[in-house]
Amino acid sequence: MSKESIAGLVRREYAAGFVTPIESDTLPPGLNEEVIRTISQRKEEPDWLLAWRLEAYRAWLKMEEPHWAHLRYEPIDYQALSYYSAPKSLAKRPKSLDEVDPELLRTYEKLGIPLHEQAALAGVAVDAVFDSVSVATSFREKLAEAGVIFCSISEAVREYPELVRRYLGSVVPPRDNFFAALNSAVFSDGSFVYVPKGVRCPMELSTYFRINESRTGQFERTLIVADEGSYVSYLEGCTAPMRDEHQLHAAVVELVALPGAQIKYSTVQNWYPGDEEGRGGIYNFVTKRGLVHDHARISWTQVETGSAITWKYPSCVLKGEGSVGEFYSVALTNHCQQADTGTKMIHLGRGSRSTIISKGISAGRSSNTYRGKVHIAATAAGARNYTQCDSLLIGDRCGAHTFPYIESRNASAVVEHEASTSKVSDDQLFLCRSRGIDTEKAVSMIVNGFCREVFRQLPMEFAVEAGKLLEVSLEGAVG
Amino acid sequence: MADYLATALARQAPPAAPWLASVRARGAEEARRARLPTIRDEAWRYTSLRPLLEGNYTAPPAEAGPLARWAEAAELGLAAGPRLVFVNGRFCAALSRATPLPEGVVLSPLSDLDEVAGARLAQSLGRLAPPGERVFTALNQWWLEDGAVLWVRDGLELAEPIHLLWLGTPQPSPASVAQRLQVVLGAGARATVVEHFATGGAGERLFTNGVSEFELGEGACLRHCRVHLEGEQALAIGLAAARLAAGARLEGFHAALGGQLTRVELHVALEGEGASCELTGLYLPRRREVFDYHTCVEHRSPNAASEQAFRGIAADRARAVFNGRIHIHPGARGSVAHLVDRNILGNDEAEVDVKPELEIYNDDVQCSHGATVAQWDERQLFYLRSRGVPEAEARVLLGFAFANEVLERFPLQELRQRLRARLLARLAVDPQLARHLT
Repeated sequence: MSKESIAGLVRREYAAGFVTPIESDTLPPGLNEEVIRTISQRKEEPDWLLAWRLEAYRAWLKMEEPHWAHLRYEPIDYQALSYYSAPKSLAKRPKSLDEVDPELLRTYEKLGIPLHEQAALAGVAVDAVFDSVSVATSFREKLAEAGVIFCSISEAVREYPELVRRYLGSVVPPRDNFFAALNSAVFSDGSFVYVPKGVRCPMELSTYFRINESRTGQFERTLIVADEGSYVSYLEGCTAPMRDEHQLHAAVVELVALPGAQIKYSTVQNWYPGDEEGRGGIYNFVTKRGLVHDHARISWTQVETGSAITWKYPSCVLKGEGSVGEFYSVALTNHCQQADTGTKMIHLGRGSRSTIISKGISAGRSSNTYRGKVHIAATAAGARNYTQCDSLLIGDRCGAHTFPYIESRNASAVVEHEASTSKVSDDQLFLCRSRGIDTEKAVSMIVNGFCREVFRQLPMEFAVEAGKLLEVSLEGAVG
Repeated sequence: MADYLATALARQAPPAAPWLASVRARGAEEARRARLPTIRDEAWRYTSLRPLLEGNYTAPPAEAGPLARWAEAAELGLAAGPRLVFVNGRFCAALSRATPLPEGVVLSPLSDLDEVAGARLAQSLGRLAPPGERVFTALNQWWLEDGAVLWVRDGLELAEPIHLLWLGTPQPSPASVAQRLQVVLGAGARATVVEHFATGGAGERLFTNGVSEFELGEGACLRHCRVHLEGEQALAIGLAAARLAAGARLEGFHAALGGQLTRVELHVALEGEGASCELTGLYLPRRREVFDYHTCVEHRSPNAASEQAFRGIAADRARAVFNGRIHIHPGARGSVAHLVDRNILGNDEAEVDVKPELEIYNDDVQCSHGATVAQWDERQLFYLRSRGVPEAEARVLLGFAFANEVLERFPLQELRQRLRARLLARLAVDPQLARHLT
């Protein structure tokens, strides 16, 4: 690639990097049982949940932070973080959007999130989580008509305790891993979705996560249960202000697809990635897993462009016969970003199938790793997996790595993995330029084409957004 | 575990020349600092050292006894060329064959090296396989009694293959032995080396801990065949490390067709510009055997090329492990690296664990890897059955065809034939059918 000609690319700022001046009720930094009791108390939680949190906390104390990922970062001081922050104006829970602090709503407007009912045209129901608490959920009534429950998880604990108690931690147990245990102990809020039997959720559901306060960690927890034969499509987006410090985000997402159900989970992750020198940015350590029952399907689609550190492996436990798991991912790293991301497909059920399509793009001095595991248990007769991992390198100071683990214990299973790594092809670039397309546009087109298979899986509006996001994130990458 | 290392270290070494004693001392020093890997270590996650620990393979090997019994195992059918045979790690002149070698070639057991040559070896030994990096390398040095060196001067070409046989004999109690080889090819030199691991008779409870080092000068070319044909109670853990100067080429051919636990680590550093390597391999564990290939090809200079093609069939309750790594260093522009690993899982009790890896720090590369684990191709089975071939036999035919494609790429007609016979025996082909296939 002719580097000089691409040098003209302008650098655009991280657009979501502003801070909202809002009064917050923030716990002082530090983590101990008292902090957990306080969180639980502020959220007026039942005793069983407090006990659950404390058990997770005690387990966490005995665990070690994992370091097997291809990531390098300064040690995290867990005592220097604040584990709870809530906008003060929400202390009395708003009854409707009209009562929500206008400053908050303006924040979401700036981010382009259609919180207001006026944005009905967008046709997306949104739950917005600001620092630690859920601020508003839109389209409640319309969803209620269909019988779909969509609310913050704190609310679900109060309103639907049986459902929450039954499924919380059923896919990602509190002791699952270091970060999941931490999350279980201190999770603040997140979304809860329940789609009843045979219901096709009438609209896209969406959660928007926003970290605002400094020196806080965000630990949200999402639980989605799709009952037999139901369907739901869910999208999450995330942003944070630009700060010089690193902030920790350790979320847990649990999906349960009961027999015949379908869950489509899409993520556009745009946490603040830090500046060009690697100052600041979010440390993103996330556990996402779905349990797939007979003939059910879970599909993960992720577009990862943000965060200084990404440690994330949305997985499927294909427990049911004929269950299907899918993972479509675009991960882009630029400047000093590091990502170690991929998926696990655990095949237990007969005839279970999985597809993994991963596209990694690394630029600048970044490091981008695909790490995936396909495990075929002896019980998974006739299981099938197809994996394709492609990496694109832009510049000679970045790294692109592929570490797939393939474990097969059933002779009738078929597992195929292929991976390739290359740069933006000179031929493709030349072709575009000879047709009068400038280099910047050409690179953007080629990268978009490279990611096409994944973008196709996103809901339309978000596919457009993802394409743009990629373009912005890549700026300043070449040259 | 600590016990294993302690016992291994406590072993009394027989008297040795000063240069060898210094090599051993270095090994012991590193081994004292090391620990044995467990399945919690990434590089060993699929391969347990339990057979080694439970089998208590710690003592030095016993005397081999009458040699005539093992002569047959020494045969690889290589009619021409020199042959060095090591019985339980010690050079055995009676089974070896010396042929005249050109001036400028040194082919010798370590035990025959004079003071000068010994000093030269002591200096360079471990350069490609530092004892501080791997506990088994450290133990290898500590146990070192004998081994082979092949030094070829610039521009010389060895027409005949060199056959190195590491033969294990039945042991009264489980024993362990060090195997060592150093090959240094000068600029433009060419050679073919066959490393052959075998055991004679039954009850060969021997653990062979091997280290081979290959230093290739500019434009040198080495064809290296390494075949493991050990018996059911033999353990082998080996490292072959190579470093290639500009324009050098390594062609490695690997086959694992026997042994309770066979682990081979291949480490190739393409140090000079335009160096290239090709690794081809076949592994066929059955019963409760574990065969494990770990490869790592490092592209450290521009325009180097590497190709890796491995195949495996795991049957019965066996486990096949393949970990293939391509590492492109910053500055290694124009690198071309490909890896393919195809596996057949014979039945549900067997297991295949594959981990191809790419680690890339340069954008001007063409790299790919592919891996498959599957059963016999249904259509091919159907085709054969529709022509009246019974299913069991059809599977054997397909297995043979699948594996034989790899063997066909091996050099040396006699070697191919010998391996093919071994392959057929592994696949339990009945003799009638075997005649048609060979």
